[in-house]
Amino acid sequence: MTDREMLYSGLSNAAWGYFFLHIHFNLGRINILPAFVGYLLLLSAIKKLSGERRDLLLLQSLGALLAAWNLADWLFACLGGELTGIFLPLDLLAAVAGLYFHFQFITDMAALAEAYQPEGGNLAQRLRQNRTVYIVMCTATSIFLHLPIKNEDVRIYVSMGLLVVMLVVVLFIMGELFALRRLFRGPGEQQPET
Amino acid sequence: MTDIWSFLLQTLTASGAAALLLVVKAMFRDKLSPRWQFSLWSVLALVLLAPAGWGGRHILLNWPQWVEIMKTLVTGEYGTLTKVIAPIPLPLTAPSTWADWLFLVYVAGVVVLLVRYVVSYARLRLALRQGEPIRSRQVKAVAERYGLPTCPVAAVNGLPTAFICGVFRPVLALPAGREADDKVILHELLHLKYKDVIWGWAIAFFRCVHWCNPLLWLCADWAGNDLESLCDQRVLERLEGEDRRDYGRILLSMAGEKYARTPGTSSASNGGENVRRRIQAIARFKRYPAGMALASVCVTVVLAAPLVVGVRAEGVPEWRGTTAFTMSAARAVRCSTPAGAIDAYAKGILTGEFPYMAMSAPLDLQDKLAAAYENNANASRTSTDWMMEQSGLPCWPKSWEGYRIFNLEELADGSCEGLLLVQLNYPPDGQPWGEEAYWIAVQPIRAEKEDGRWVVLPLGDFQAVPDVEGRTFGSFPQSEAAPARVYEAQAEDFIVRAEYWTSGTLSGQPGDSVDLIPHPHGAFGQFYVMQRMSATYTGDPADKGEYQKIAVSNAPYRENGQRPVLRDPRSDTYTTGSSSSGASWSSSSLNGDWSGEISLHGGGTTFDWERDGDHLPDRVAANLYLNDKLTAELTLLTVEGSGRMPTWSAAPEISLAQAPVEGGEARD
Repeated sequence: MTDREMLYSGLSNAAWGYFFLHIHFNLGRINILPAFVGYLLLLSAIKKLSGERRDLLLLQSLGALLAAWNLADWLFACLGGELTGIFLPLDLLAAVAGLYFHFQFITDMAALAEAYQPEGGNLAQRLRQNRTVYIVMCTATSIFLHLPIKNEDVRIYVSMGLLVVMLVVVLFIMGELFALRRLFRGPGEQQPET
Repeated sequence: MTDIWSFLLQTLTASGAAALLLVVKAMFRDKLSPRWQFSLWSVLALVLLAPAGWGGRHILLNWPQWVEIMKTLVTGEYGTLTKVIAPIPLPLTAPSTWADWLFLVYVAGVVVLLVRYVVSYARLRLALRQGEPIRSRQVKAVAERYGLPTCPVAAVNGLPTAFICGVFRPVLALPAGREADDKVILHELLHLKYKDVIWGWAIAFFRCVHWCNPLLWLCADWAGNDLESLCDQRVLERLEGEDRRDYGRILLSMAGEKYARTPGTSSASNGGENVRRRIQAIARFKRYPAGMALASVCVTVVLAAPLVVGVRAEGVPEWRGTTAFTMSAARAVRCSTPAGAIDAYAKGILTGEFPYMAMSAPLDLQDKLAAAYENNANASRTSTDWMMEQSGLPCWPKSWEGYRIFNLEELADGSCEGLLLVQLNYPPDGQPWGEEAYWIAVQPIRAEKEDGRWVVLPLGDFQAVPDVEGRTFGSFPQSEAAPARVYEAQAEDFIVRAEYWTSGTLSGQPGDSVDLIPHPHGAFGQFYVMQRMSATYTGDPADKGEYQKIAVSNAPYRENGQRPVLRDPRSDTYTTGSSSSGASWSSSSLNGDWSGEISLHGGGTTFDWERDGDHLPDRVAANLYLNDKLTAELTLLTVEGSGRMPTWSAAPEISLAQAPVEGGEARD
């Protein structure tokens, strides 16, 4: 596989990884778009893109941890249970690992876009902006879950609002990753801008 | 912390948070900079400063429950609840038990360590005073080059390395007879600029307060090392190229030196192993991913929220093998709302589960409850048997029907009083059994706050009352079985009367099937208010013929004390109506030989108790119309004692006297 093909494939994996992470479809108890598949795709993306962005290798351990956690959660769900909430310290570790993972991953994608986007392009800037919104939303959601809010209606409406915003942002990020992927389509001789 | 148990709660809570933070720091050691690694300790500092278990919440694990279980197992006490009022030791009472003496030993340890640190610092200041003050051109040059503040400099014999001493009058101590490298001076001046000595004092303080906790002692060491690593990062940010490598070499040369930690000082050399770790961090200096500031902040915030705010205990106590375990665990589940406490109490009655009752029982009743639990188990009696003996419940209740609360009223002191109703399984002794024979048991109760938890006090025994057609437990309870709140006023030859009942239960119940698990943080659900008007003729029977028609319109007074505008009920022969605001109106023709009692009907509506209040008005406005003329505008006032159990003139003593066990003795 050439370097361009490797980058193309890695970015494909990255974009579809975010799809699996955030879009779920249940057949009975079984989610046929499990999140752990998303992390496996992201790990594959890290491997393929690490030639261009060495910092991505720092995410391998976190990515493996998150994949294992989400696999365990999926198995629990298939058996009718729920892993989240059983042991709060593990939930917190997964939350902070996920927060950092996505922040650095998307930051590195933005750096990749910065290097390869045509002059005047704003793909990198959009990725960074959406990354910031995504991380702030994840943080807000995490904090919100721990606030002692008695009014159930408020809890429901705010949760739904956060969920909707997150989904919209994730769709934007996926779109931008596909757009980044397009830069590497075909046998072009594009070199990174120095 | 006023006793050994509150210290245990505080230190265990901090230990749990510390363990989590150590794992997080290990996860991000090569990803987030030393600046972030040190700032994460601020989260632990917040946990150490906040009283553990505040608001009935716990951090990560349910430490309050485990401390309660431990306390009961060791001391046999059930009637106390561990509470941390301050994060520092405060021996408020003279010791009387071995636990008190143990606490004193702990306090003595804190004092000894504090004194040791203060003496050590004082000696150091004395040594510095005896050192030679110098005007160091080197220090001044370094400060000017990097834009840093300076302070008095003293050269002291026998010092292995330079350090800053003091917060308010800092002094830079240099080894006498040896020239210190510029980078070492830079390191110390950066400590001075960022007042790192304050952190040193804070770390030493927490080390003293938790001197017997090896995990927190370890964290104190690591925090000190992270502070030095942070300073190294600041130094490296100001150096370039070869100077950075020189700095690493200087640190390496200090790796073999001994190090005595003294609060109030900062030193570039902090021990061999620590120096080696700092050198590893220096080697990673340029390899931390750039632009991670927001991620660092978000990770810290996500950790801080649950570690500072905590979570409530959600589980309901279940049998854990022994009375001590079970009842202690139950005591630690704090009912955080009056609805939750009433729910726990009522379901304890319905199921006979002692732990449910322990959740809502006042502390001074916990010992008796535990003794009863133990005795019942030993005698192979059920707890429902015990409940029937203690509370006047005439027979087993129908647990599957749940319970109702009638006339729940919020009092001025914030407590709530009302009537608890349960449906009986069969009629009380001597009463007829028939298809339509429903019986309910009614008990007056009060829910009040005790030390941050809601508890329920029974205000009397249960009384059995017939319930016509079982309407009390219907979808819209319309029972006269429970006493009504009565409002009355006299006008002309009539007493006008309004009767109010409210009834409801916990939110979400009864639903399709009754949930017999208590919800200690629950809220009241939709309540139903029923209102009925009536009038009683008090005049001369011979004069009854003067009256052909009577009509009454009424409504509760508004919260601001304003009299409401009442609807005019005069219209056709017999008209009745009501509105969701609580108003009702009714008119009736008085034809023929009418009895002295005139029922004028009323109405009902649902309301949200939590949002709208108890819907039992202080007074009711009523307009009386006689023969189609407005005769009087009345204010109906509460009849004293109405809405409560009918025969009490004073609340009976609360008694949980142990019923005699066969072959045993009764005890108080």
